[in-house]
Amino acid sequence: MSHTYYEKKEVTLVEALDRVLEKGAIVAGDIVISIADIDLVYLGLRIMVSSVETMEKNHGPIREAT
Amino acid sequence: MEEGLYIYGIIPAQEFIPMEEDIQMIPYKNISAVAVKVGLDDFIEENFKAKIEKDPTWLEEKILRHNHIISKLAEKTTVVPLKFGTIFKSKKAVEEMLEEKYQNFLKIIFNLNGKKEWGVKIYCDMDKLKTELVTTNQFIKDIDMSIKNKPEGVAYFLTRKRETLILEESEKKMEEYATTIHGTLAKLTDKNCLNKLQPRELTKKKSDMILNGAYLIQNSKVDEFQSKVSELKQIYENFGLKFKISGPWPAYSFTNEEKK
Repeated sequence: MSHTYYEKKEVTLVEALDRVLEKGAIVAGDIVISIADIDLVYLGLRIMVSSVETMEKNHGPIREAT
Repeated sequence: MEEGLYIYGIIPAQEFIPMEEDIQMIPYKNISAVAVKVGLDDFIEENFKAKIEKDPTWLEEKILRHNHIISKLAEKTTVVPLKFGTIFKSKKAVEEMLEEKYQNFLKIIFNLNGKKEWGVKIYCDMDKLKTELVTTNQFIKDIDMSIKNKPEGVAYFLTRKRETLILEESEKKMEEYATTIHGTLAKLTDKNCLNKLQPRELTKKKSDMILNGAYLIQNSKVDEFQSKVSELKQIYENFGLKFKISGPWPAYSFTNEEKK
């Protein structure tokens, strides 16, 4: 799967970021990942994420599930 | 490894769309969630962070694939994109979510039908804007006139005053331009919104972004929208503004059914 999505007709990561990470319908998944944009430090196109939250909802922590 | 279902978006269920083979549809009544199996361990907070730190391309791939799948769906049907990183532990949990949100999704799908999102980003070349200002702004021209033949001390004071004025006026102009342009484009839309301005570190541009607008446009109005953008571009280029239009996008910015 690696690098399949870098094809030239695809939008760049920079263009996609403010939509993919910031927008979209929010529903209460069992895990919801939240990446704060302010905390994103961009180095080239490499992303260093200093603040990532994944929230586990509804069914308790994943580790307890079998 | 325990598996979960990562949901990309919600579509009307009656339509068959050829997709990559790992993509599955989870139907409820006449809507479907578009899902892919993921290893749950990857998405637990500490693992997720560690994974990104070790290999940033992993997250890039995930973000680009998210957009790729939703865009592909949007070519064929109306899609409600979900926020990046929404994962369920079981098919049953997805079905429960669909049941609970069914009316909301129907409403959003109805509102988005026949429309696409377009983006307009505007960057401002401050030097050019200032140059333009110096020749047109009356206050600045007045100061320029009065500086002449003034004693050195007074001239120094006036020059400082002039610099401050140029800065203030150019920022005022910049805001005025962005507001006017957004307002003009907004008239052609069903809905619109302002997204956060991206920093230079991200955009890799020499000028600051002053507008990051998203516009929901009926497919029949796209030509009109694009000509309006070109028209505005022609006018505002002279003042140092650079336009970047993008689209059509799946309607990422318009997935809230309450908003008008």
